[in-house]
Amino acid sequence: MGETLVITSGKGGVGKTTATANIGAALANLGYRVALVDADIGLRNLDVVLGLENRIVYDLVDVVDGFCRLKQALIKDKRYERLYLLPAAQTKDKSAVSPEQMRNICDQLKEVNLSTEAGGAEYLDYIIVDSPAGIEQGFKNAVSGADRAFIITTPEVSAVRDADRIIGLLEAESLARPQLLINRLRPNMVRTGDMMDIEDTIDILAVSLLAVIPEDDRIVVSTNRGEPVVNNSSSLAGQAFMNAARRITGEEVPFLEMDGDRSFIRRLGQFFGLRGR
Amino acid sequence: MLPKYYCRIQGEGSDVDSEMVTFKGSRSGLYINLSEEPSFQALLTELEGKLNSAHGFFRGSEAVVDVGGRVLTTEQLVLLERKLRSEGGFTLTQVVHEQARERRRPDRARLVRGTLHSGQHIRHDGNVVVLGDLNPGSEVVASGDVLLLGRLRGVVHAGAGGDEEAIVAAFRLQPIQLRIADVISRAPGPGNKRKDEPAVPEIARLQDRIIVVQEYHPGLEDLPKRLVGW
Repeated sequence: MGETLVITSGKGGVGKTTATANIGAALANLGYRVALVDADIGLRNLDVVLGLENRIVYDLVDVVDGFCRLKQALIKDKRYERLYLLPAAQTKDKSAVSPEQMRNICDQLKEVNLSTEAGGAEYLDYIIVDSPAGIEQGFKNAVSGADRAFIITTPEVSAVRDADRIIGLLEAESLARPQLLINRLRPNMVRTGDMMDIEDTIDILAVSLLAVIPEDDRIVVSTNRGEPVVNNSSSLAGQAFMNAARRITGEEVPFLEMDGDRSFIRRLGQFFGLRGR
Repeated sequence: MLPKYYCRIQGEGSDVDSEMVTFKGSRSGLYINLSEEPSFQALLTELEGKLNSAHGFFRGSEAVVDVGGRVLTTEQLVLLERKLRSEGGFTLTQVVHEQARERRRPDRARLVRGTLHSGQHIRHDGNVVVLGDLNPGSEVVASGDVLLLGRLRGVVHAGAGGDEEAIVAAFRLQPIQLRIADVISRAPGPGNKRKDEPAVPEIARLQDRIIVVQEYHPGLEDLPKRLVGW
């Protein structure tokens, strides 16, 4: 039985879509069957980041409105054979879907048989919902079908505030114990005291850490090209997303050493070890 | 035997009465109301007269004395008790006090487990205890005291019904804003935020209508004492 994950942040521009695309690609790379659902109706981006824009025929709203079957709207990724995308509609807005309908879609996705062979049975292992920014209808839709929630933030006071607000709202949706992704961390700025460090961020939010993604120029290139960065082994961010995906599957993966700063990473490891116990 | 503490009897208050001393019978004994008469001596004389006219009718029963708005000294209390015993044969069991009546609030405290995140809020008529942090953007409004076993980084309003004796105590007091009764203050320092994290538990309260924060020590001597139910 598949599991539905939601990646959300409250604040815009902190990397929800990038994380969804890359973690999805990483999970597919690990051999899992993954569907990415773009819940940002009216402002869809996930298709662009994945380079699948030109393959969209049907979208999520078409499925909800009964214009097509769910399987018809699922787009198969061009590089990862186990990765699928359920795109958002661009001409509608968030009110085109209700939380109940979204929950239905997530439940139905778990039932979709992806096998093209007669008598074959292949089902999705993970469904990842890319949430829109904000705390309104779009957010409520995105989290309504989720079994687990991930919050992404950058190490900035405003983004952390918004993440904190989201944690409170997730509790209300009985999605307690979300996990945290800290994105665009610059270890050298943390060291000079110009950027919030990881401990401070976790300390405020009182949640467990899934991964720390370092700032990486290759992310910009990759999102513009429509290629996830996880297939680039020279990218530190790519490795961090890969590690995040492995931790999602339950594997224990040590945290990346960024910038060769051993003491910083050791402290982080210790902190995480203490938290996990 | 002196009564141990002041408390209030529900549903019975001091009636407006021209007499200095009035008696009211109740199941548990006699309820004696002392008026606002400023002279304690005059009250005692009046009481003595009334007790004598009862000719020992009440002997052996229990008495509750409502002293109204006045505050009795220990000597006065002893005199009162002695008078009741010798003249009327009463055992003084309780002294009811105006202020006690006013200060009384529900003795139910609301216990909140876990950190309050931004946007989450607690409103409670009574005291609030939080086992966790109050993050920026969170809010606790209580008619009584607020105790925080964690870091206070949100907004707290204690004594929201106007109780100026309400307190706010926290392991780490770094609120964005603090309100007690109708007094509002913000933390000093750059960005309206205390930069240095206090290393000790602190307590905030009103002194001369200014919110004062000081280190918390068990049993602060000058803190008005309140027992359960107050």
